[in-house]
Amino acid sequence: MSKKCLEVKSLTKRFGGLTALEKISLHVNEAEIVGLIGPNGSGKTTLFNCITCFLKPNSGKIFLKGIDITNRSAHEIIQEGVSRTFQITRIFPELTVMENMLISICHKNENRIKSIYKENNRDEIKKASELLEFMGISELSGEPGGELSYGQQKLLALASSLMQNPSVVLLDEPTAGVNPTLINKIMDRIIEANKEFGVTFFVIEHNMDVIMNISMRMYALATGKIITEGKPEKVRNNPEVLEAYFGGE
Amino acid sequence: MKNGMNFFKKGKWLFLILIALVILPNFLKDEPYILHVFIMTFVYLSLAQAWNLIGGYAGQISFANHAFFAIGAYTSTMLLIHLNLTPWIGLFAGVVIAMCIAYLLGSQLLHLKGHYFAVATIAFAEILKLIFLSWKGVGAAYGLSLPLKMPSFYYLMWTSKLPYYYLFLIVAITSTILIYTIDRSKGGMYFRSIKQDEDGAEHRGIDTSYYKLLAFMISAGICAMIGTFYAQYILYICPRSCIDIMMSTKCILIVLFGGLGTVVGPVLGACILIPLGEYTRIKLGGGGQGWDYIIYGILILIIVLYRPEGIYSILRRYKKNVQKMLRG
Repeated sequence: MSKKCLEVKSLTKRFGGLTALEKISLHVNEAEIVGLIGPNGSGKTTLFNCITCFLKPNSGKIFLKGIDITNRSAHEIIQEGVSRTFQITRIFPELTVMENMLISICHKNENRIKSIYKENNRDEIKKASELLEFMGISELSGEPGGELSYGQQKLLALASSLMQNPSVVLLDEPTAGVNPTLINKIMDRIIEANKEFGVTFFVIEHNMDVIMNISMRMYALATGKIITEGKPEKVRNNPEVLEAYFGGE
Repeated sequence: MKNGMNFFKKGKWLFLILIALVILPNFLKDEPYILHVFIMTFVYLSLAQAWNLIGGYAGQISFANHAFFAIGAYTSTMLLIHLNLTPWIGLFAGVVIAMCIAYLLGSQLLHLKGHYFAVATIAFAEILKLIFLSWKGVGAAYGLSLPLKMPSFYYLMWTSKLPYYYLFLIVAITSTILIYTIDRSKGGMYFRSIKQDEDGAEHRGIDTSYYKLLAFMISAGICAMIGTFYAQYILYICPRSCIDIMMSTKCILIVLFGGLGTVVGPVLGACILIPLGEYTRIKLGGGGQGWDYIIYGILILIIVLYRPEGIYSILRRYKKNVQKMLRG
C-alpha cells in the first residue's frame, strides 16, 4: 500500500455567497501522477490556491506526508515540499533562466542573513544545470526569462519546480497554449521525472489526450464538488463527467 | 570578502578612478567649495545606494529614507551634546535605533503594495518632522548646533574639509561595495524576484516579508550612518534641513536617472546630478530658487521617455566595446 503524500480533507472555500469548493477530499500517493479535470470554473485552480495557501480555505485540512499544512503561509508550504507551476507561467522576466532556477532552491534551512552576501554554491548551480539539461533548455541559461517563448517558459517553470526536491509538484495546465510537438516533450518530461526521480505530480489539464496519457489516477471536479475518481478510462467514460463537460439533456 | 575583492579585480580603470579620487583633493585645498561639491556627491551617492537597495532591488518605494538619516544625525548629536560621547558611539546608537524603527515600521507597512507603501512612508516621515519641529528637547524648529571639540578623529571634527572628503569617500565606497555584494548574492536575486513578482517569489518558497524587512532595515541603517557623519560635517542640524522629503526624492531621482537596481546606476546618477545641481544653483540661483530641481525634472523626463532603464543601460550597451578599448 503506497503512502499518502498529499491529502485534502473536506476542504471548503467560499467567495461570499458562492461556494467554490465544497467538502473536497482527495489524496495523492507518493510517486504517483494524479490528474484533476473539470470544466472551466469548476474550482481546479482554486483548489491549488487553497493547497498552497494562496487563498485561505474556510474549513477543511490539508496534510503533506501526514503533517498539517493548513493555513500556513505560502512560502512555508512551498518550503515543506509543495512546488507549483501556474496556468499562465510566472517566471521572472528580468532574471536569467539560471537565476530563475536558482531562486527555486530549497529555502527551508537556508541561513537568511548569510544569503545576502553568499552566492549560490556549486551543488545548487550544478543541479540547476542538470535540470535545464533534462528539460532541454540548457543553452538558454544566460538569457533573461522574459525572452523565452511561451513553451520554453513552461519548460522552465517545470524545471524550476523540481529544483527543491519537492514532495509533490502541482502543475496547473502544463500544456495550455503550447504547440503539439512541445506538448509531447512536456508530457515526456513529466513521465520521465516521475519514473527516474520518483517525483509525485498532481496535474490540472484540459487536454484530454495529455491527462489520459500521463495520469495513473484521476479526479473529476464540477461546480466545486468531486464527481468521480479512479482510473483515467473509468473517469472519462463516467456519465456525470460527460454531462459536466458537454452538458446533459 | 571574496565579493569585495572581485569588485576591485573587475577593472583596472576602477583603480585609476579611485587613485585619482584619493590624490585629487590635495590640489583642491584652497577650493573648499569644490571639495564641498565632492562631499555632497559622496553623501548622495551613499544615500542613493541605500535607497537603491529597498527601492531598486526589493521594489518597495520608500520615502522615509531621510527620516532614518535624521534619526542618525539627531542620535549622535544628542549623545555628543548631553553625554559628550564620541560620534562613533553615536553612530552605532543611531544605526541601531534606525534599524529598530525600520523593523517596527516595516513589519506594519511592508505588506502594503505599491503606492500605498510609498504614501505610508511619506506619512511616517512627515509625522517625525512635525514631532521634531515641536520637541524642545531636540531643539525644536531652531535645531541643534554641535559643540565644537578638539579637531580629532575621535570627535570626527576637523577644521579643513579634506578629512571629511576622505571620510565620505570611504562611506561612498563602502556602501557601493555593500550593494555590489548583495547584488551578487542569493539575497540580491531574491530581492529582484520580489520586485518583479512578489507572489511568484513567495511561491518559490522565499519568505518575502522577511527579505523586504531586511532590505528596509539595512537601507535605514546606512541612512542613519550617513546622517551621523553629515551632522559632524555640517555642525548644525534642524528638522527643515534634515527631515526634508526632497532628500529622499533626490535619492530616487539619482537612482532612476542612473539605473534602478544596478550597482553602477546610483554612482553615475550622483556623479552627474549633484554637481549639475550645485552648478545650476550657483549660475542660475540669482534667477530664483529651485533651478536645480527644474533641471533635474527635465533630465528625468528625458531619461524616462527615452531610456527608462537609466543611463547605465546606455553604457551597458556599449560595454563590450568599452571593455575592448580599455583592455586593448
